[in-house]
Amino acid sequence: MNLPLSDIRVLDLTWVVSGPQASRLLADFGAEILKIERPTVGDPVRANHGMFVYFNRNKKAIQIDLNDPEGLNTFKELLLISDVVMENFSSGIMARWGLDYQGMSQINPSIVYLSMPGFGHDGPYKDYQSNGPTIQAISGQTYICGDPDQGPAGWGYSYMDHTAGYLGASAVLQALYHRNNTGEGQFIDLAQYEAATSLMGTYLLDYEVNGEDNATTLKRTANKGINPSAAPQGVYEGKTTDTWIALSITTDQQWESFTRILRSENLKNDKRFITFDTRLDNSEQLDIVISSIIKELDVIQLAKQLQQENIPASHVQDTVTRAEKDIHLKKRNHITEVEDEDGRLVRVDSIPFKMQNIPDPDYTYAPQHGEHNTYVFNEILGKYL
Amino acid sequence: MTKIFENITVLELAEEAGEYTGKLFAGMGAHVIKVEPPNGSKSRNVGPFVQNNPSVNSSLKFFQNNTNKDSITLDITKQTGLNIFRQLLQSIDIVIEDGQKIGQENLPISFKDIQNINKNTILLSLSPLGKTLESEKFSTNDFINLAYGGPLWSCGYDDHTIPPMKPYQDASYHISGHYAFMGAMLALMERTKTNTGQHIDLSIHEACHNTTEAAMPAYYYNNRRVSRLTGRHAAPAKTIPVVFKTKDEKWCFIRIPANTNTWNKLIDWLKETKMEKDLGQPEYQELTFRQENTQHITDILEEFCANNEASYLFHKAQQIDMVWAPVVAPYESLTNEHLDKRNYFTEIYHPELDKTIKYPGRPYLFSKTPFEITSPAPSLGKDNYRIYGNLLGLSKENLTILKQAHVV
Repeated sequence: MNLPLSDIRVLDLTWVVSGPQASRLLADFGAEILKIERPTVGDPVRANHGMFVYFNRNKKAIQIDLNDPEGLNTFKELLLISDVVMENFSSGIMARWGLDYQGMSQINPSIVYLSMPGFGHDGPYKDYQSNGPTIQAISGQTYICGDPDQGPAGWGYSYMDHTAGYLGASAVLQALYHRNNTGEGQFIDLAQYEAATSLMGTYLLDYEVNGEDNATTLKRTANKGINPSAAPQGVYEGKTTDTWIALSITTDQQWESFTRILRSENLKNDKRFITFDTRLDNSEQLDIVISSIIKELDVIQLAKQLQQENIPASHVQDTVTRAEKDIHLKKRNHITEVEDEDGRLVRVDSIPFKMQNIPDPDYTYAPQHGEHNTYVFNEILGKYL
Repeated sequence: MTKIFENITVLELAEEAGEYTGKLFAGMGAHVIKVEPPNGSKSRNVGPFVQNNPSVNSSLKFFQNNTNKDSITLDITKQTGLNIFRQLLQSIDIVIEDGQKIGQENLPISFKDIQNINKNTILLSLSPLGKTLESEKFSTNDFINLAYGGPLWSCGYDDHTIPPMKPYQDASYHISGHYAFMGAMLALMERTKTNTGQHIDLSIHEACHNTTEAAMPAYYYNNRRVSRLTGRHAAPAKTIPVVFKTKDEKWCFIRIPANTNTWNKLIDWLKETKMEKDLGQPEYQELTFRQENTQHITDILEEFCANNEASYLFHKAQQIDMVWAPVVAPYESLTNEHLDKRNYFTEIYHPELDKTIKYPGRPYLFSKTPFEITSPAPSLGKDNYRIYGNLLGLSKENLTILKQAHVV
């Protein structure tokens, strides 16, 4: 059975992570992605082989120099027979080649053009440059993550590169759906700053409605919740250094089970912790007591015991436990394998949903620089280089 | 203007996990009907609240996630309620559920039943581990999703006596909501070819696992395990800090430019305040030399940040093509000049508060079919009369009887 986007061709000028994340999703869903790189220099992420493979599987790679008139003409020939163009350059780059939406839509009126600059195509910051941490910093995501007694911790990776990619792929799917219904293409200006801010709405509304004096979300809360809070809630270290359990207790029944599993009569009978309200009021002392108990325990085993009693809890999984020991990922065959250029099997992550009528995609290894020049230039365009 | 989903109707039996997906549909014009138990969705009980006063119509998180939607009440655990639900399904394109309400043994409706009622309906399920593992007990929430799925492991401080840190509220629901939306879109596109709906089974755990950037590639391809580092990418080995305190007690994210032209612009800037120290020496023209001396360069830039205000550092750095940014609190976006000029915010009147609230707007700007926020999150059951009347022809008298029986 064909994948949903098997009749879609994408001219993919994206690079680094956010754009390639978007086009990789479209590739996973069956689109033919022509990853266009300069002949002399490829996507800089090629220097990190694992990252490149992760974000560029299922694509075809070709080389075009858009600064060369012949290269620009070749691009325009491909534009005529493509459905989507996508890039994550700074604002203004495409216009230098006459490839802004106006220019491209004159060649192919039904083209869907996704542009993913950091700050969008107008406004005072339109020429500003960004990467994931830039967007996370200016949108408040970095500030709000961390311990109130420390500086900001922020995301430990470029979350917004993923998220802009998710939104970019979603936007293309919507525009294609619209084009299929109406024949009309369009331009999508995905300003990553706006995308990030749209995720912070609860914090913004709290400030706006409750003001600086009454808002409850202005400060970092470490691992505590906002409201209703849980008590205890936190991340606690186990007997092995740098192994951690996250847990969250909201009911008296969960608390009773928790104290039973910890085999702590003292905890159970401690008047400071008898009710939810007293546990909340004394949460700092509670954390100290619990930390000392859990420090003697195996957190993986403890998380299993707590889950059996319907207590939200998990070992804070690192990459090794996710890849090797996560029974839930294994049972759904989420981590699968693909052959690399030397015939060795290497692991990749599947898409995280299953469709009733469409099989999981087959995954192919990320392409080498210009690997599909012959296929595209000879077979598709009929050029003989 | 045209709306992409102007002919699409969504029934949303969703709470914290699924209602963001419903919001994405509603913003592009779908008619999203939130089906709530008579006492309200659980997500109405999650704060922050208006004036810190919890009530069924005062959750600001609910406000944010449910713009443009209608609300009806219906207890589908009662046979009468289920019968009404079956009637509603006859004209529905998409059902979003995240609470094990579909296919659960004590509720006599499955996706097969839904397809028998309306073969065009798409069922979108968001569940902690995936529907195929529903029999496995797994109690979770946003925080636990992030711990189990991997994001939490990468976030925190260089000092590993401090635990890993959870990111902003609802991150796991945004991650899974984006994937769920894509699944529903694919099913919609497929339906135009086949005239048949289908079930999309999304695992929140798998979605979070897929959203840790370099962590899994580092292990899969290089057999290396990343560890958390303050304000920067988790990595197999310690790297140099990139977030520094500024003169005005804020912070600034910085990056040392790799491009030599940009590096020289940075040196010129440092010279203006006599802060360049030895960085103007010829050996720094070589990238490899700069890489070998990253700590020394960073020490100078840390001092430079301490002597300047965050806003100045941001704008001046950006003028010379550097990706620096101020680390600001979320609410500071409300007064950001760039967002203001792009008309990013939408003012929405809340009749129950007699107050207009400024909402963050679109995640993307479509040239012909824009994402728009047009109405506030609905009060509980606000649309019972209109929807039950229009779609099912129920009279006010019928509804009164159903209300007395606690069905609506």
